[in-house]
Amino acid sequence: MYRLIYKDIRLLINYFIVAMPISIFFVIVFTRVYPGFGYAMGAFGIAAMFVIAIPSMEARNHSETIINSLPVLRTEIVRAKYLVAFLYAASGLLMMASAGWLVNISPLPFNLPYMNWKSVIITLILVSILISIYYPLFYRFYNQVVIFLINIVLFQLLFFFPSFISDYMNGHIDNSLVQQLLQLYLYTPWSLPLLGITSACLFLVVSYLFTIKIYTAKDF
Amino acid sequence: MDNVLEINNLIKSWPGFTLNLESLNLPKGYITGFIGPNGAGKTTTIKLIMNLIHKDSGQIKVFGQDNIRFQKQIRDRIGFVYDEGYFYEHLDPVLIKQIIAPFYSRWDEKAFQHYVNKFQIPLKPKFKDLSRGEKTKFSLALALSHNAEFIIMDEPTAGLDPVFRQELLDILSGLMQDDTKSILFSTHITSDLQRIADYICFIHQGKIVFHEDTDFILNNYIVVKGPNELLNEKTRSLFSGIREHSYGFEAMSRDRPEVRGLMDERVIIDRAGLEDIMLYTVREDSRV
Repeated sequence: MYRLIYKDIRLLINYFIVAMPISIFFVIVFTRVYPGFGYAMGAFGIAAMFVIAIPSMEARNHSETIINSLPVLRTEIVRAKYLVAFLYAASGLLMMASAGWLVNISPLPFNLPYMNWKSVIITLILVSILISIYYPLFYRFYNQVVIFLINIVLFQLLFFFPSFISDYMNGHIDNSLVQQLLQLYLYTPWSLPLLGITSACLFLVVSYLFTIKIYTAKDF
Repeated sequence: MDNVLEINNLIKSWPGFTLNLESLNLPKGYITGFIGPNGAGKTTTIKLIMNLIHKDSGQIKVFGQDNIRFQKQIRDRIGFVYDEGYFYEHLDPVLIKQIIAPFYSRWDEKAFQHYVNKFQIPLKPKFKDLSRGEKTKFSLALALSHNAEFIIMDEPTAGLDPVFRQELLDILSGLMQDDTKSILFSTHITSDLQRIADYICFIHQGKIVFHEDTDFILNNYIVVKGPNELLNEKTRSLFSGIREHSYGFEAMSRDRPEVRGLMDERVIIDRAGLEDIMLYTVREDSRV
């Protein structure tokens, strides 16, 4: 299965090169516009670009025929797709963290915050949700137009999701549910991230099983 | 005789088409030509062998093993060349090779370099910028570089010029010096197969019409032309694809002695080529 992961990474070499300057732009813009979520949004943006690029590339070239003729199982192909997404997330985080550090040590007139563990957790949750929705839909429809629309809508929703939630909570501070969540976060800061990670993991497992079912039943 | 491929009662249905292969055994160490008109079921059969599509029922064994249960081991020993490249168009052949090679347990880099030089495949341009012939040669070089024992080729010569087709046939003939290799070569350009195939499997409307030794086919199938008055209930039963004109008839038969015995000197008997066989089998009896 590592060969499938290696394949995807080799295919993305050009994207990695493009993503490096983009991460500098992201870190400068997003950490200023969305101070609490800039790193997570940038890392998610980079990871999402990678997640979406490979299946689209394979659909465009009809490469599934070749991949499924190689000595690999379809379950391994799906598993590799889910696992490699977390490598993309790690790459996105690494690029954003490096970009933030580079900007701070450069003569540019910025003093950016550094990445924290919250950004890592938010990025991982967002990437989990993205692939949990994207992969089953992609392999079910396999249509460039449908996929394009899914990409646009899904990416926009998830990209602005953290800042939307934050804005909503700030705007509805009197709401009892918001107050309960804030109390929970105040007394047990790990509980909300844990809840988020657990929910994302469950969602991911269900999505993985569903995608396996779709992909193994597919004719190429 | 060992079989590299055994197919039994294989059925795959789509709206308007059913592939129904009762029995097909390909002997090891030979080239089998897989012929039939467009839409006959050649690609469907190949995709079923490769488990790219799902069968409705039946059994496919490759190297004596079930093609689904042992698909990983089987594919490691199969080299495939499809009618389209299906490779990543924006990559160059070297990068594609670097992606494909690690999947095979017996990848032979020296063999790949040998075939790249022999086939004169340019490695610098992107795959999309290679000519059709170069793309096929590259697919073939990949297929031959992991010690594949069974090479499956789906319409590899479609759209290629005669020079390259001849070159490809020479390559395949050369490969068969090694009697551990077997080739399934699907095409509707029958002249390609007439020279190199040991066996011919003819498929039409999803069913096998015949699967026989090429020499037997070429020696026994005949095209008969003669006056219409020689056609009667008894002689008609010897023929297929009878076409009657005002000046006579033409038809195909696989029974030369019987035709010779029942008809007089007015008939002209020619050996049928594979193209004639395909044409006469596919077309209905008709009066023009």
